[in-house]
Amino acid sequence: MAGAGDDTTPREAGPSGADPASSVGPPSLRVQLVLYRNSQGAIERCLQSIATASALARRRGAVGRAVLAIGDSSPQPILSDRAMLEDSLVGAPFDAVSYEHFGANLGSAGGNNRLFGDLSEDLVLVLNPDTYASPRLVIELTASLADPSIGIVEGRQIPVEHPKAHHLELGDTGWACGACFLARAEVVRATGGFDPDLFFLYGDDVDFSWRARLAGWRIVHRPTGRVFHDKRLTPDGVLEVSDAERRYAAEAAVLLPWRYSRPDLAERNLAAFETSGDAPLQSIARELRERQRLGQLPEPLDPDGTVAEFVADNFAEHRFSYGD
Amino acid sequence: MTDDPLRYHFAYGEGTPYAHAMALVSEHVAASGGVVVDLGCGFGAVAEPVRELGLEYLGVDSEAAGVKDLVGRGMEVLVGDLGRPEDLLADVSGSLGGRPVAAILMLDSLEHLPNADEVLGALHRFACEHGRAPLVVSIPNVTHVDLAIKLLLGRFDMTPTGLLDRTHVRFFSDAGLDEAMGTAGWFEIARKDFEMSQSDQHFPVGTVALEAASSLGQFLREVRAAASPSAFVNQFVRAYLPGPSPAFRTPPAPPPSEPGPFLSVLVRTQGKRPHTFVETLLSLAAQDCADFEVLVLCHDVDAPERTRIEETIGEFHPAFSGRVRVVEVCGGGRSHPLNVGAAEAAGRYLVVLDDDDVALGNWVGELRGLAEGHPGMVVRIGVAEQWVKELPGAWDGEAGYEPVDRPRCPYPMHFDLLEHLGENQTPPSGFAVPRSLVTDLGQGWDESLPVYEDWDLLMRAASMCGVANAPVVGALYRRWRVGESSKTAHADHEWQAAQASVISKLDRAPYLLGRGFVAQLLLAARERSDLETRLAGTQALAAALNTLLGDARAEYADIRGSTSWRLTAPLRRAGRLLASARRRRHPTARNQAT
Repeated sequence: MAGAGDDTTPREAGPSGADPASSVGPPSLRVQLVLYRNSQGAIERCLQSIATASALARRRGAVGRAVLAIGDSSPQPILSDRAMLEDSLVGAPFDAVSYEHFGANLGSAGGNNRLFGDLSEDLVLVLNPDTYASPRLVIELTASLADPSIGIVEGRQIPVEHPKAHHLELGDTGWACGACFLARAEVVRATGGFDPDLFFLYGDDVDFSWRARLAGWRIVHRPTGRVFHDKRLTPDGVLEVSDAERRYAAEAAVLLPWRYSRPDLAERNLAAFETSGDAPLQSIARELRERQRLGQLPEPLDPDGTVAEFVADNFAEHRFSYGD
Repeated sequence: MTDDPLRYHFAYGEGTPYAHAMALVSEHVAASGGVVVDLGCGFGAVAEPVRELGLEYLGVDSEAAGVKDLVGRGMEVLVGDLGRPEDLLADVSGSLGGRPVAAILMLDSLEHLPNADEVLGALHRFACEHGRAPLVVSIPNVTHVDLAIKLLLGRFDMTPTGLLDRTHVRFFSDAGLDEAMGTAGWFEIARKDFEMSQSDQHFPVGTVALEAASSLGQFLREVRAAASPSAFVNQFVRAYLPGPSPAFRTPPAPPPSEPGPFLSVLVRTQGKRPHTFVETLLSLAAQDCADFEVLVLCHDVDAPERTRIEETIGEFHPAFSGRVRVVEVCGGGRSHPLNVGAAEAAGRYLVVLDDDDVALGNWVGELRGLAEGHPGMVVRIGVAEQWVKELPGAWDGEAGYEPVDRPRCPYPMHFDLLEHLGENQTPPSGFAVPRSLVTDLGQGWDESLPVYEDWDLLMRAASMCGVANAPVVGALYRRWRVGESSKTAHADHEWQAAQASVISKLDRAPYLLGRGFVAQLLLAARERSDLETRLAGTQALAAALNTLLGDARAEYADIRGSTSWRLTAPLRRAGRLLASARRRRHPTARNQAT
């Protein structure tokens, strides 16, 4: 694997002992993104950026074969001109481009899992369509995977950086943000990818990351793996959050503790929703109570709390808070 | 209207345009010496001074009075006019009879010629045939401040002589003269413009707008003076040499068929922060609105670093990198690159985004939306700031950084001129100014300021343009907890001195206030008056209390000094003991008592 070529230090292999760097030639790459009602302009910018990053990584030998897989959860297909898509993206950036209109809103978890279905490449870069990849994004992220113990590497989001903490030297972090991460295909295969039955839009990345860590992989943050994520701030400097994000974040605040053997936290959060006086939160609480009554709770994992972290209302230690 | 030719019978003397012209002649006369050809010589005011330089004089004019006068003074004169310049210049050649041409003069004559361009072209050929003799001209400036102000008042007063001589058929501005001379193949080699703070057009006396002592007069003169250096030039007095034939000159570039982009983003970099510079670019590449260009102003950057900067830019998709230009800037302080960038810019607006700042995706779009609704005004949006700390060597051996707090918005979302006069409340990325403010009104960044150059410009721009504001956050301004930024690179006294300088500069000239400011000022005055009233009441109360306290102390001192006080001392001691015993039994009582 190029980008890793400089580093000859023997490393402990990951859970399966597989290491793309040890195979012949640079690893193959799949870039995938799931669209949902995004503007043409945003998609165009995103595709231009990732095409540039992929082409540069291929030129530098960081990756070999590269494909782009686009899924579309929008009511109507957003990208109708397939020929133009292929004309602009097939060549230096990618060997092949695929586009699938799902015909239903599968959410980020379901959409990405659908795309994982025919994953045959060594590495997969999951990217939000409201991002703009820095030209060296692929090079930087693949460099981290030179270490065979690392299963997933996340990019650093700008301009509004995620507050999650990471080890300053090693990069280790609790989970990888789904807006932009590069994972080994083995991690996807070992974990089955996201869990769309439990997490539609939010918390899916935390759950995926924790299951990867339970399987023995390390997850790291790559500060030089820059990606612009189109987040906006309110006049108070607080992150703008959509109603959907608020809803699914609230769900995740109950579902993740349920899944990761912290029923006390799940119960506390449910109770807080029920007494909040906030109609949407109360509605969510009712739905979750119903699932609880029907026995649709997830199988508890990580009973000893080896990977799952619940710090304040977050799923990892945070360096600062957006909430105050 | 008079046709009296004697009106042009001006005397030569120090402090006249003629003396300025002769200074140029003496400095740039052809080495061969020879004849000075004075075209449109009139009464030949410079004839004697020419001879005093050891040169011969040949006057050329068709006006009989002047010719007669010159002949009477023993000067050589050729009668003829420039209606057919080639013919006249052929006659001049004949008169020269092989003598070399030391210089050609056209003093106060070009503006009288309907075929001025043809004459300049013919003169170019003539000069080339006669040893590339220099041409010295003296031409009235039709953009003198007096004329500019009078046009504002609806006045255009033609006069027998002077700036608006009734016989003028061609009117020259600085740029117009440059264009006419350049088109004819003449290259300027020296200038000695003749300035007059009050021209012959400074009438009627007492006109409010004309008088520099009035606020309006001062304001208008300031505006005109800042706009271009020719505000007080009465006569353009310049020397030229004939360049290559005009036929071989590159024609001036036609005006661009496409208007420039909405915005020119000026990114200053010294190449010291490659890790944040790439993020600045990334945030620009990701903008919702692509109607902008980027000028990366490499300030005193060495060649290897510049190459690295160009490589960084070149790695981006052409849809973005094609809109980025690298401009090399040498010398000067913090503001210098911005003025260089402004001169290079093509955008209708200018904004600064330093190489450690980042834009949110809506930055350009929000600014453009405001500018479309408020053309000509400064456009301002909110900026969040985020404290970050340096992490030396943390990123694969390179300098890294990380935020230590979430973004916060300490700067007011709404622009308040009064508050801004007190202190800067808008980071550079929070406002864009019309480029016309810089190019047409000369209001660039003040290079004498080591800091606060952005605040200084904003305050001047707010006065001239007004401010359109939107309460949305569009950019992130990074504050460095450790490491170099302007807040730490400059000592406190420099900041204070710069602040005083900005205020002093604003106060030296009249300050234009926008609509609604009077009401705002009145409100502030009322608030101040209310506060003063309350303060006075509080002070009176404090004084009364002090008086009471003083009286009480005096009374207490009297009592303590009295005989009865001394006699009752045992009783007071007993009372204190009793109270102490009670507190031990009921501790809370003590708390309540205290």
